[in-house]
Amino acid sequence: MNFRDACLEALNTGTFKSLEVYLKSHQYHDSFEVLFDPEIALEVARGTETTEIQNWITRRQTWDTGNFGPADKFTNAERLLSVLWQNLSQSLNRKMEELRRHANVSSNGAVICFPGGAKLSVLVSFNDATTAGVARLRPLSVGVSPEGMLEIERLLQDTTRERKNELKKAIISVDKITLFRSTIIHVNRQLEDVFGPTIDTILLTSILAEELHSAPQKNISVLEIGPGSGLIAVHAASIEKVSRVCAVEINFPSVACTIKNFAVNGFRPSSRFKSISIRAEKFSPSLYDEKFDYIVCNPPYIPELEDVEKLKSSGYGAAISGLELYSEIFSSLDQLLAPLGRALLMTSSVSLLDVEKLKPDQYRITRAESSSRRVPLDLDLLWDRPDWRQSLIDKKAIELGEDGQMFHTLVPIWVERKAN
Amino acid sequence: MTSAKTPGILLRFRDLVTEPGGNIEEHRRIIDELGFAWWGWWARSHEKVPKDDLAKLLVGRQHFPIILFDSGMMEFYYSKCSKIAVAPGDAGIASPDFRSTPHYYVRGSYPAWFKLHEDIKTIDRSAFTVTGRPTISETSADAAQSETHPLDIESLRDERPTLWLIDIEDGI
Repeated sequence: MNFRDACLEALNTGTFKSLEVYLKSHQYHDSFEVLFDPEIALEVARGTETTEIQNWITRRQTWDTGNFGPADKFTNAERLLSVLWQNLSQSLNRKMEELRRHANVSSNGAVICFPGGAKLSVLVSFNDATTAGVARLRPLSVGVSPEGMLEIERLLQDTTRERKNELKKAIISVDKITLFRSTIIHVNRQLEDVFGPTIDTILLTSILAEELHSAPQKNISVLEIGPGSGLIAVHAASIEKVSRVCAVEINFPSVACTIKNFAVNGFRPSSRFKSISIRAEKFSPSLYDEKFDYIVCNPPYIPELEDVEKLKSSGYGAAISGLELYSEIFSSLDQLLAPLGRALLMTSSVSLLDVEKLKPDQYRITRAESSSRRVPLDLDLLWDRPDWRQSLIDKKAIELGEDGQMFHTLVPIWVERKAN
Repeated sequence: MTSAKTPGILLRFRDLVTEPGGNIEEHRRIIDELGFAWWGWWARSHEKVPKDDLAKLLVGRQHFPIILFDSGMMEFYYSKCSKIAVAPGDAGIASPDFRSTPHYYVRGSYPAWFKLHEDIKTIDRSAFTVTGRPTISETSADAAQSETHPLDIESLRDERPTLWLIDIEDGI
């Protein structure tokens, strides 16, 4: 019986045995994703008398175990939500315990969890964390196909004062902690000059994980260019079929942060089953004597300001700077990509066409359209360059929302040899 | 004249993950530090949570007596319970508050948790009477037997439940 069927059995019959057995034996990290199943969603909506997934996860009957009294009655839907929450919160608690062994973490804060891949984010607050565990975990807010990691404006809208105060405390915490399935990533905002996981990172991690899980081969090797805080590389290493992960990073604080996050997630240099290396250097293909099954990178995808100046005189099509890393990656593929290998890169609607023009002829690009996501674009220089902004709007590379907020679309792309 | 009695529960445990006496000591330490500690019910797989019986214990009162039976050391301990957290279904729940729970509970889920808020002290077997075994299917013969012949410690240890209903003398 699969997980979905075990949930349906629990909802329809009140028998949770199959579900308990499944969760105990499978270490299932995507459990909340099941709430997107139409049949399950219908039953949960009936059992909770509310239709929104946000309410299902944040309502007290789901998480407030300290107030579950013996006289309380729960519907099967409420029991299912409680079981799913227990699964996530216990996994998170164990990860937090491990994190506190490797890093100084505040006793109060929040974790951005993705218990349904990139489709669902749950902001979970924690209080009174010690090395013995976390005292209290509470789901504060839920995002479906989130446009950003925190979506602060959405979080603070239409909510009670009590919830706003909790959210504010969580948002201003010095620790940026992300849990993607079984991988926890920590960045200390004050001490580490590292740009923590963004929604781009979550999308790439999710796409790469799906590819790795379905790949037929074993002993897969992955190269990440610019890991930042390390989420993609660490999560790839956690997949059983992956035996080799290499991450190359030019920013030294990011190197240290990535090493820390590998250690937090249990990776040791002494492992016989995984080879992991982090190279603190500028990406230079000539320094490698190996090929990789997968290359992944989230390069800068917006042209630099000085090249926008060039744009005024030379036209938009000439802008490639800020996109230099794409050129470097494309020119490295012959040397670094295994014969049947694939490269996964993030692009934006702002520069996608120019990136595609940089591609070598012997390679083809496939857009992962189903994983594309419209997200806010907070780029000050666009406001200072009305001509450029208008040209992007005319080309439908960006959109203007009702309140004047600009949006672009993140478009992940696969690059592979045409002969494949 | 019979002395007044108060209904409560008896919970069985053993020091399987601590040194002898370690469970009690750890809960005492937490109560001393925070004023309360959560005790997880280590039920056997065939036992059911007696929700109705537990619900009655706090009706009209702020706490009820709880006896902790160390079936390894054959000792009884007394405390007071001010709150019960019960899992919504058959799957257990983690502690409502890990800060006030011994660390060895972190990875476990239990069908019910009891919030102890008074110092745990030793108590004699004679201070309480078993009145029910609601977590298992008790036969009328079992019930009748225990009423006429109060169980000694060894007999109690040999019984199947890990949770009993009890009456305890007031003034303990």
